[in-house]
Amino acid sequence: MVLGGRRAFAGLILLIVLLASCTAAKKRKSEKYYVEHKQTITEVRQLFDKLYQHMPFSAGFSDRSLKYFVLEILSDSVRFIYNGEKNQPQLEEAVDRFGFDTTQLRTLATKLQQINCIWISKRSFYVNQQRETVTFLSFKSIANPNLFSENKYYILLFPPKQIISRHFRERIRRGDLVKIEDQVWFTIGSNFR
Amino acid sequence: MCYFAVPMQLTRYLAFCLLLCGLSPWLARGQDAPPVIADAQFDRLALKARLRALELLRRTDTVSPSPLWPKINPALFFANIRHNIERPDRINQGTSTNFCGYAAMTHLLVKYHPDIYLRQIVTLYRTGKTKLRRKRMKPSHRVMEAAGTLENKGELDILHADQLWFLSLADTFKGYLNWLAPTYHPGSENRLWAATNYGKFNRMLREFTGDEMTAAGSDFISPWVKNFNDYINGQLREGVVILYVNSKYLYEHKFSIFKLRAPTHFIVAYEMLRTDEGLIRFRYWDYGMKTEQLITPKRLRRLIFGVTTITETREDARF
Repeated sequence: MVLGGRRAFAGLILLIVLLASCTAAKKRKSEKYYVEHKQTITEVRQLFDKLYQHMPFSAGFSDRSLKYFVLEILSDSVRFIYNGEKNQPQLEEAVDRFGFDTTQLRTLATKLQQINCIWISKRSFYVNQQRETVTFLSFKSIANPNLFSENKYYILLFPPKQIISRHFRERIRRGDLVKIEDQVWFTIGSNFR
Repeated sequence: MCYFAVPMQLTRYLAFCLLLCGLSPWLARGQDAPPVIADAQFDRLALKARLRALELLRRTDTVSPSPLWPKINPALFFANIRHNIERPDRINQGTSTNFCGYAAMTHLLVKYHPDIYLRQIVTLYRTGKTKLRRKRMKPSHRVMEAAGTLENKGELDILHADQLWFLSLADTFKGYLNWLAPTYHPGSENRLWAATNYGKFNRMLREFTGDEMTAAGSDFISPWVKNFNDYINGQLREGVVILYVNSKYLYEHKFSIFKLRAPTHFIVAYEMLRTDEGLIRFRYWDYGMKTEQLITPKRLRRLIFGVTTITETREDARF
């Protein structure tokens, strides 16, 4: 009996390893992904910019099935984080309290789901003391074959203009940052937020 | 996100550190009953100290550059110091750096002892060294050359005083996480060179302020506490509370199969309230602002590895 149990356990492990190797063989997203979903991605960006003008925020999902919406609202001094999985009533209350257009926000969430985008946000940095802000969209990339290493995410970057900084040039040279078209770049990162 | 302990690197070091340290750093110092000091008292001290520091800054030469720090722009440097003293909540570790421990320590130092901060940072800028309670801060030539050049770190790009300060702290205070990366190289701010373990963080706080504090927890095992919500609330009544947490549970998601159960981030706790729905409304400071989110008690338990409480701060702290 014990031997049979061990064999079953070994079989299970083998099955997991096989499944993991199949997942690893999947192709990583590349510039083609943007081209295929360009229309929806553009709509998402426009909608996000419109909502962002009302109040700075970031949005996305916290689970693989993209079921639970996460909203990070930035007020002047406090960042409020709501996760639809555990705080759905509070999330709805916050959307109402901060005066977001619920229809537009719902449309944004639906479109993010359509293109499997897990996070959308903006990030700022400085070039020659001038503030530059980049919109970015993160997507789940392939599952990492190594269980103990970080996940990798496919990230699309949309700088508002041509950015020339030493840091950018170095990343382009190293191949970390790949140009897709004018003001559209992609990178693979271990952090999606 | 503060990734001082990039999981793969940390996994390697974990075995090494366990071997060296055993499980002994699971400390719980300060058994004596600490004096109960309400937060309002701390804030009163903070306001007086801030006014003193601003007056001191008014009398300081804020124009001439320092040849020791060639890349530091004096205008940006002193504007940054003034901003820090006026808005200590805005101190930001920058994007993708491992400066979270230094940022949390600086946030508290500037909030409660802005005059100490001002004196130390100006001395460091003018002379390239400064004396602390027991240690000397004398950053290396590499660090002096690098301060003012950090790029793509968000707000930190133009915060020259914070660049100088965080790099100097990382170069001066060393813990076991820094043993394999003792020297600064460009990009070290994102790597183990800048990492802060729990013991090092507490040492830094003591070294700068001399405040009375208690600490529970370690780099590997959470404090032995039945109810974290009650415990932290109790600590918040006693003073200012800093938490050493696993950021994977602070910004939770289910995209990873494996989550390393190790602390990676320092935050300052400000409020913890239980809601009617059984959740915990948690307000804390990190990344230059306060954050509020609702978390479950289970997540809170997985989150916390260290709880440091400053129970008494001295208005006349001098060294």
